[in-house]
Amino acid sequence: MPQSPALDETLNSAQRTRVHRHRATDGSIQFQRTFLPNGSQTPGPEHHDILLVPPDGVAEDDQFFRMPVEKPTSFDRRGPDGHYVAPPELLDAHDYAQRSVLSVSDPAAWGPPAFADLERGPAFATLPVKPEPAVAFVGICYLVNTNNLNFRNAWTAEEWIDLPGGVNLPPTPGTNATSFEALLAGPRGKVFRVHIDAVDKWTPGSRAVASGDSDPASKCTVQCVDLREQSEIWSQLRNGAVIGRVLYRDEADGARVVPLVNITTLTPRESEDGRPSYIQSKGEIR
Amino acid sequence: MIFSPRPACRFKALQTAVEVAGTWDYKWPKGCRIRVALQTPPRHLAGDLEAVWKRIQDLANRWHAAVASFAPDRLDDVWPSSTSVPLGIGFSFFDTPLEAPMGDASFLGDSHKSPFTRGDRGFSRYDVLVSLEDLPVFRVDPFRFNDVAEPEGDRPPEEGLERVLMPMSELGAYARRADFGSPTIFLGRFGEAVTKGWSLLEYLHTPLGEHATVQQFGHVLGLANEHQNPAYGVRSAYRPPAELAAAIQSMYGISQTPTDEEIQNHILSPWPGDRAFSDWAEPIRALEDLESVMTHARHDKLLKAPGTLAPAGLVTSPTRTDVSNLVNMYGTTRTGQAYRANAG
Repeated sequence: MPQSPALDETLNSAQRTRVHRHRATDGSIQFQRTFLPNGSQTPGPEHHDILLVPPDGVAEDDQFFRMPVEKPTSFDRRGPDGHYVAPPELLDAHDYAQRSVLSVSDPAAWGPPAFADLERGPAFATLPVKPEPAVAFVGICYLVNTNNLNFRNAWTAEEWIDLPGGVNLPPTPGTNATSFEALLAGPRGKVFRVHIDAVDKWTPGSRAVASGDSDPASKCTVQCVDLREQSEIWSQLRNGAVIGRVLYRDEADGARVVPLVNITTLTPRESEDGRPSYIQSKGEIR
Repeated sequence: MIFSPRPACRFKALQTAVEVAGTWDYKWPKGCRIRVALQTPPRHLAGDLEAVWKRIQDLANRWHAAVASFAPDRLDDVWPSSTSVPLGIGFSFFDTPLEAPMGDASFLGDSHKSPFTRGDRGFSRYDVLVSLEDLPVFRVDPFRFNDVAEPEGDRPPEEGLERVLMPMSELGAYARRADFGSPTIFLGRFGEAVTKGWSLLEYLHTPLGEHATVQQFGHVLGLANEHQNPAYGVRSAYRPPAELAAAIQSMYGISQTPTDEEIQNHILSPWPGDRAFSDWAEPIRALEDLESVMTHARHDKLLKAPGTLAPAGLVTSPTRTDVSNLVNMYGTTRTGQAYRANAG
């Protein structure tokens, strides 16, 4: 069949994306360390591109940067495996998996219209490491969204030494708060909402017990979240959120944006003897 | 592939691991209004386009009507009328078509991907993109498709080239994983609608067209195949695979024979995923009496012995079973019990 101009243009477009984007030649998921069906693993580290959503105003709404990493099957290799030597690329709506990334990175724009004004999403995520069900196939990447974190925070805002002539910056968000809540994503598909009240009343070394025997002034609530009702939390975690902000709703306090930490991304790996590598024996810290 | 996509995983966690996966994976966040856009269709539809698009919207909105009929007490929290209410689910249809196709080369489905430039602000943020191309069409993954030759006859498609034979849709929020300009739902004519020369509008007014379209919008909502509800248990009620393949061909008027893998994955196997992370409603009827739009056009033809309550013809609107699943998925949990819709 003679090729039509439209087909030529399609193929040229595919070629453009294939040639001008620094990618693996076949687009397949690169499991450098693969969990095989028989339970064994192949050796080797994993190398992932870095996707960076810049601060608002730096680029268009649908654009973000990609820092490609060299992989064993990278097209147009420029360095050893694992090196980030290729120039950053500015991805836009033309690009492969761009829509998928944005729907994860910016849930406000892709979620309920009623909450479109609540800025939230992952600050750092490891995008899915599983075969994608749709035709478009997202690769495995690290995602950083600078708009979903406070670069300066209560712990880093203060100067190391308060010398004369220093700059006095405004307080960072939450610096003087007396309560806070956070979502901790643990194993077995469970997420816990932790609410700490009267932060200023807590004495260092004290602890709260779930049975309620603690000093009422130092109050802590732990709740196992019903993820059936909190679908954005589920979606963010399944899409690789390591740390970020999500929409949380309950009857008591309504809808709000709450910090989320996926503890399972930080669980220490086991050492050769099967014990967590950070503990040598009970009471000792390696 | 003949049937709508279902999750497939070549790499499974060890059997002892907790399988954190289920239908929640493609559930839309509650309060979403699924933005449905229409891809500029082929020229032969231009005259009927307005009527066709209205007909499709009417069929999609049978889901709203079904909730109102079978679960009127839950209508406000499952399908609220206002977008400002952060509950439930719904559709929002674009008025004008988007993304002009690149040409008439319909064998290359990804030719629908628009060559818009950075200066072109004509595209809009949508969730679902409807294609009205006659089926079959091919969907192309440009990063996995390395052979530009057109597939011939029954030669298996090349890697990265997928043939869409029947109406199909991405499941729920998975639609957001498709690139801009790539259709996520295919509602065009297929099978006997093509061989008998029906127009698209005529086809959409037949029981088969109604069933197919309503079902695909059920998949858009995030509903999977009801006959694969894990709660039905053992599936000995079905006919042998060879008979199932013939029955599928007959009921849809297609020449392609479903493969053993397709029969297994789309009929005989329960839906994958842990029920603890899924929204399956408890069945209202036995599998032999299944009445649902979220199953094959003539589910009774797939059974060794259909039940006495099995529908004799095509189901063209959501049923009590389908509404129960929808309420489980998007309704506000009140009693902690799985919801069961009214008899209606």
